[in-house]
Amino acid sequence: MCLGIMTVPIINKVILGWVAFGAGFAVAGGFIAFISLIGIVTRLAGLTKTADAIPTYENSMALGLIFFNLVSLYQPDLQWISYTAALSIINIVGLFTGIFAGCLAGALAEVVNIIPIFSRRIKLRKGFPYMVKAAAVGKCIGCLIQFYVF
Amino acid sequence: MPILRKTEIFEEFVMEKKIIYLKAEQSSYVNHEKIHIGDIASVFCEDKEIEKKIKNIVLYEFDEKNEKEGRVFLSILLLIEKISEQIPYGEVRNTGETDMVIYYKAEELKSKKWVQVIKILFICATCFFGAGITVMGYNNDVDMVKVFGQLYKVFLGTKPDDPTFVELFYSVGLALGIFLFFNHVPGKKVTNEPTPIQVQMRLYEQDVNRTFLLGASRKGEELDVSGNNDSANNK
Repeated sequence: MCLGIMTVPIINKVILGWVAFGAGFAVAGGFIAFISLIGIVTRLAGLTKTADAIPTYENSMALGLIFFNLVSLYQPDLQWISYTAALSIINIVGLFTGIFAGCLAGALAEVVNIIPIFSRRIKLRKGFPYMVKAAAVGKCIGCLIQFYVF
Repeated sequence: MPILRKTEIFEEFVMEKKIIYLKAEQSSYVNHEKIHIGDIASVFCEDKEIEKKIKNIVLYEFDEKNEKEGRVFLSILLLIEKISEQIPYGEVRNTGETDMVIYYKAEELKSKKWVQVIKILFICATCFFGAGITVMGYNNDVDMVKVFGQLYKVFLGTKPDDPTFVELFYSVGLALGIFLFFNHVPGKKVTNEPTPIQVQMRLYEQDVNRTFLLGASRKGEELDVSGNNDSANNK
């Protein structure tokens, strides 16, 4: 079955293209549904009182998804950028990604109601701010250990 | 004819009694320190004089010198009490919420334009990079490249190492799916329907208001008819 590409009928290419297209569609739907349901953008917009700008946030999210999807699949060569510029870009990207991932982790924990259920079981009514701070510090330490010790 | 007279009197009594319709909002935002009923609820009465009078009843006054920002919780009973003080012959029918939260923010405290812009840019960057890196992580996690290689092999034979049109179609599908789901593309305005995140935003706002109100009535912070404040104090 070692056919050259030229001898394969065009219909196969069409089917393959359609399958890939559908895969992209499904992934997009899942991603957006998950992100809107988890409520990161909602919370950030609520905190900064910028609910009017939500369409802008959605646009930037869409562009980010598309751009970085292309980067991850095609892996373009961007080494012509000067070292300092590249370093600062990487660091800024890392910072914002960290913020986003932190929000994601917090939102996930909230969606499954870990803290309310747990505190109800052990009959604890106070100290929620400390729990949240402890979780944040714990996550930070965990990240540092994973990245710098292992 | 005594019976007819009776109904006449009754009708007169009904005519006297003005029905006042109230529709209170769950939450409202004010910039001035005096809260009037007109700020937090829509009022309807056949008699426009009464309607105007009701709208101008002062419910609560923020101390502008001491607090620039604050919130107050009101029960509908307080409104009814204030209205019946002014219009004793009125009958209030509330068609809206029964508990309200009012957020107050002094005019001068409104954040400046450039602060808003910086905030928006900050969140835009977070969304852009965060969502972008997440999709990279996803592609790596499920080994998309391998999946595409397998698909390619099924249909066309061994896949070359470089990305092919399969990845391109995947990316196009991803982009289209995103814009379809969000219901708008950059540069174009949102059409008739709210976007999914705007829907979530409203739901979140409602949840926040409800949590505030529940907490306030548990702690007895809600402004209610006098003497009723600590009725709900059993935590």
